[in-house]
Amino acid sequence: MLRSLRRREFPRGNYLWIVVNGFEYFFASGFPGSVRVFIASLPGLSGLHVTQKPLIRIKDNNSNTKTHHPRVNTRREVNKFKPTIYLQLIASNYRSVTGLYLRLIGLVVLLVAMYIAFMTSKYYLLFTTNLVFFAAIVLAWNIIGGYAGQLDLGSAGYMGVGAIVSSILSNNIGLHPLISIILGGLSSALLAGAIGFPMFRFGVREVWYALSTAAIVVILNNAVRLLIGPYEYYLRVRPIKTYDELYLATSIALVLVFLLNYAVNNSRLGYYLKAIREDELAAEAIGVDTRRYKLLALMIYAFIVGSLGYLYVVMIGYFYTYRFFDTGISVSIAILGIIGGLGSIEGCLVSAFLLRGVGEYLRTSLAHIIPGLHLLLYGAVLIALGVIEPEGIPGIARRFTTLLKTTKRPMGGVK
Amino acid sequence: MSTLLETRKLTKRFGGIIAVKEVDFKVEKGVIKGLIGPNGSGKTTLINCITGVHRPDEGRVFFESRDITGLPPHRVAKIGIARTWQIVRPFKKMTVLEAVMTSALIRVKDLSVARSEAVDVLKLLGFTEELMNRRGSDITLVQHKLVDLARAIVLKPKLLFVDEIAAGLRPVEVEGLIDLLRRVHRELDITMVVVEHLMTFIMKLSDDIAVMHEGQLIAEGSPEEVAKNPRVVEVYLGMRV
Repeated sequence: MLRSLRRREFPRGNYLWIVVNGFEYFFASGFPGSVRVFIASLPGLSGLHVTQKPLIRIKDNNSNTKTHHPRVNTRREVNKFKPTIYLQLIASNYRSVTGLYLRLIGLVVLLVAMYIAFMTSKYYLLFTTNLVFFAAIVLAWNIIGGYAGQLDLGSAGYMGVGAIVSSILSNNIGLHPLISIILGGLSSALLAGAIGFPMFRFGVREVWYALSTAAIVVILNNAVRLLIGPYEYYLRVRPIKTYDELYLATSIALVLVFLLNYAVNNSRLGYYLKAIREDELAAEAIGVDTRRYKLLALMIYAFIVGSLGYLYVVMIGYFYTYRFFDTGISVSIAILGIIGGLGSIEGCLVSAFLLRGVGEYLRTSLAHIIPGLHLLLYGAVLIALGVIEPEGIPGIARRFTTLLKTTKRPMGGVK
Repeated sequence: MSTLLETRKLTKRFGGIIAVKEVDFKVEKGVIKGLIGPNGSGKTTLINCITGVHRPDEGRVFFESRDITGLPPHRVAKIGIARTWQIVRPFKKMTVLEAVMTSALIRVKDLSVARSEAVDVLKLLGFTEELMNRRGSDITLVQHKLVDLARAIVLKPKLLFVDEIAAGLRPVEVEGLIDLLRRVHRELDITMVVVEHLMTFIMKLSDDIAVMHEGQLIAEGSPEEVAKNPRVVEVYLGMRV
């Protein structure tokens, strides 16, 4: 039976498909939307197939591949009857348009659901806003860190510059907040260009890139303290007045960053960046101008993070200070991006929501018992994740799928 | 036949070692040229100097009578010189198809066109649809080498350097590769320089052979001539004791 399933052309897009004792249940429509969308939005998990039948797997390979893997022969495998439920998860087709719509709807449903769940409590609403905000930052980081593979530890720097520039422009000069947000983002992108150009020109990469970007945050911290002094500057112009408005604004920002990520992922730029991440010299040898595209990725990322800076100012209570330039923030964002799986949009969202959620939960429930205990536990969670699955959340999802998909797979065999 | 590639007195030093010494290397259009020599004779360094990975210390490189000395690798690739790597450089977290598509995207701007071109090339090299959708981390060494080759030929280069593609493969696989390279040469009309230190492989494949030893070209000619050349026999097979 499995053979017939494998041979089948799976429809594109996302669906929940369950087979029990040979009867198929296809939940393309009619299944409660949010559940379906939630399942569809998990990485690599968009079909679910349950069967209790004995599995017969027939493998044949009669295409002209004998030149390069003669080891694979026609192979017939009969697995014994297994009374357990057998699940098969079908890898989703990331490129399908329906996939984008479903994911987008899934994200919006999630954002609305979180709002409905937490709108009664100011603390929880602000906390959720915080999650959404950092999810957006992590998705922005995904462009330079995930796709281009440059371990950037400068996000706090770009966010701080954007935050301060847009605050000054809207508060002191009186520009419309939206315009000042865009100008804040542009100033960050310019800064990134000025920093990135010489770095990529002289081949600063890997750990040295990470160190240099972390150093930039420290430099900015000191420079800005000298420039504006160790004060907190409160803003008079406050366009966002309630937590609900702030949540809405942050959610819109997250959706925009999500769409931008999707666009990058499915464009030439995305392919080039991924090739650079995998092997810079090989990418160069097929004709990718690695310097140029790394710089482009860095500037896009700095623009997004810089534009988000203003929301950060609003979120912490309408003030700006030199303390925005905090390497701790950059490092935590890079960690979330790495656990999100370097280049997986869904993985980044899951890791940002889940890990920051866990971190905050630990803080509120443990920090008053023993100060610092929550950080210790959070660190333990991170280390455990890193040891169990270095590829992060998509790795866990993939491991889960292959575990369920394969009962016994010979080495070098065809799936 | 016109000259496609020519190097004039190309020299590359690494510290005190001269890896390539005043090499005049010529490739005619439309041939499969073999480049052989013992390990460490400077074959790969010569390729690296031509494709821009290393900058030659002295001498010039001409491609279609145009001076391309010292151009960065991505410019060289766009001009029409592609290469494969002696040690495979796989894109492990991308699928085979995505890796080859990336290469195709250099030439065509549209994703779906790039995808179909990548599929065509992969099919020519014997990949099944199932294999194309595997990730780079899940395929074998031979398949890696073929993906490497696919990434290079999907660029539709005028000249292709195949650097020790047979290294580490079993004899059956090597036989398959010879047929495959011939087919690529014939069907896609790509001039090739095949670098190898396996004598049999190169003898079967190439029209014309150049022999390198200690950074210098010591012989050039048809496979038969080269095999008879006493100097080649001496440095390549070792002297009879």
